[in-house]
Amino acid sequence: MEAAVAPINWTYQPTATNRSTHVFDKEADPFCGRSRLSPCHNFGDPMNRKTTRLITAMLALLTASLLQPSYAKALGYTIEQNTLYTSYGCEMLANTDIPDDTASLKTALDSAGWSGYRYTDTPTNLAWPQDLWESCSTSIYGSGGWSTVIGGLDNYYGDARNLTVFSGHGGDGWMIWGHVNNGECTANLGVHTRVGEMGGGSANFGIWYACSVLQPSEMGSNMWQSLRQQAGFYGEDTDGVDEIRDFFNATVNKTNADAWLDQYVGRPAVIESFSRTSATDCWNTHNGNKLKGNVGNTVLGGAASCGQPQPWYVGCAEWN
Amino acid sequence: MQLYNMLRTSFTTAIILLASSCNQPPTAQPSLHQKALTQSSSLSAFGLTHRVRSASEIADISAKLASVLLGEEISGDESRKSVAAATSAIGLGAFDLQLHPHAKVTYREDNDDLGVINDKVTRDTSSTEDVGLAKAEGIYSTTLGHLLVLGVVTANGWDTSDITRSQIKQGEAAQGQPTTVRIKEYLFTVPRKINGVGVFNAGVTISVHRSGALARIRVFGPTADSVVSKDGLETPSGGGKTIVALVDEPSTRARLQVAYQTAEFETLGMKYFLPDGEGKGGFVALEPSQVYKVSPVLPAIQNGKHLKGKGFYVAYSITSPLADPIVWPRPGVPATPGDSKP
Repeated sequence: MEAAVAPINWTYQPTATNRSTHVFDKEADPFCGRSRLSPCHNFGDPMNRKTTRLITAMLALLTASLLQPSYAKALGYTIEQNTLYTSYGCEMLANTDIPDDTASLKTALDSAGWSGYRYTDTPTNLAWPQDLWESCSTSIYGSGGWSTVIGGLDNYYGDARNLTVFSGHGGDGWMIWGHVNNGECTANLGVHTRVGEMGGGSANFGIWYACSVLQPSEMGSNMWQSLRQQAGFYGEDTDGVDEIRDFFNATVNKTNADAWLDQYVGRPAVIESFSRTSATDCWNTHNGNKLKGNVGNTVLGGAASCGQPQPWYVGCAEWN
Repeated sequence: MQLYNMLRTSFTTAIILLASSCNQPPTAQPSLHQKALTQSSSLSAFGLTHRVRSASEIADISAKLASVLLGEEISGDESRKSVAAATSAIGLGAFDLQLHPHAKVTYREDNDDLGVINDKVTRDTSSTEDVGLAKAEGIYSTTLGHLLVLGVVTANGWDTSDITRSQIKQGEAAQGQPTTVRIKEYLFTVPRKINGVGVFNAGVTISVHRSGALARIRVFGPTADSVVSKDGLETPSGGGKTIVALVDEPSTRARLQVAYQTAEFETLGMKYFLPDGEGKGGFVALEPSQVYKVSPVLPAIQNGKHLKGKGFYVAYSITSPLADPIVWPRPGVPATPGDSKP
């Protein structure tokens, strides 16, 4: 088993709680009086206390303003790339190998200041279906409902960072890997995969870069993910190797929706958005979010934790 | 000011030229170059290239496209500054820029693909008016006329009798509910043809929002090294050569069926086939090919249903029966090795 990587909280938000607890609570100041660098605050003097609060608050604000941009820029990604389908245990037929179409996406993400990992089936065999299986053991998804032998690992991989990308073959909610891993070759959006919630819970945008995975007619079904947006195809498609990179780069100015629809104009492309409050809120997300422009790169929120049922949501979408 | 005067003159000219056609129903639209497109009695090899354009050339075309899209002048000077700023760091190969608060430009050198959208229009998902297909097609026709008059697209080779009509749809669904659907945009794609033979992945796409506003304009595809005669026929600039097709479509289809026994395919017909990214250094001599879109059929996963996988294009020579076909995009191992797992 690989070493655990804790999910990363990508957004730093100083709260009133941490300010008051760590700075003003005498009981919680363990270093009080231990050195000249840790003097005890004179909490009996209201004026002194007020001044201390003011100075400390200003320092906290300054610290927050210095920290926030660097944390906000530390957006993350996980990419699963499959290319060889003919002889690695997943029993595909002839002529099903496909080009590598995410290498340039990784370069573009790294250049834009994102950080993350791209796992490939060849030569390392490190793209695994379990990377997108729900890891929560008490869930009906992933390891809980589908297989009690091989557990999901989305808390380490597919649901550990903002953007998650699968590239390979697929259809009707299924994603298909080229190399078998622990006896498995597939992940199903409605059965195995719960990104944006439960274990991991850090993804906010999913790209299912395979044919026919997302059906607009099934937006209200179990196929949805707890993401702000997901994009893919509802029919058979043929992709150039740099198109997904071009999509990402276009989102510096265009919304994700415009960039996706433009990149795959005349082809069966679909992009879906989600809200837990209203259709209006859903369309606001759909009409505003930009990956490279860093608009809306936060988790959807209000997600189910381990074992909880799916909360109410509304989806909105556009497709060519 | 010079550009503005040119645009103003061009708009006026375009409106005069197309005034009659705009008032007619779509089925009665005259084909702008029907005469040329129906005179393909012989086939020729042509030089094709994905043009490598200068920054100022891209800027000028962008300004014209944006002017047509927005219905207001977009300065060429401003456009040049924007393009220069956008490309200073990343080069000309592919870039995205904002030319106007609502005009977003995308350029991709690999297919000489230049598109402009008005995102005030494309992001209108709430308006209720729908002008309908017929009126939208009239708007498309007028817009194409503007592009022709302004010289944004070549004056020859647009087969308006063979446009592809598609739509962008929008939908909503709450948890457990069916999706409600409505039309958002009407798209019209005019294919580029040389004497009636299509050029692969080349054309003009114009999108009209259901409100009747122009939403997107995109011009894309290779450029032919040709001259146009008075009767509208294109001939190769350097003389080129006339070819005789020795292989018919059933023969190439038979080769395809043998090579891809577990695949489904779509016949795209005879085309000049220059894959994206090729021919950027200059003209490549190309004969027409028989082109197919191939979709591999995957083993059944659920309920015995077979899925179709990511596809590719296969182009067969029509003059050399045994020549290897061109396959694009070509499958292969990862371009760069993947990361290790932490």
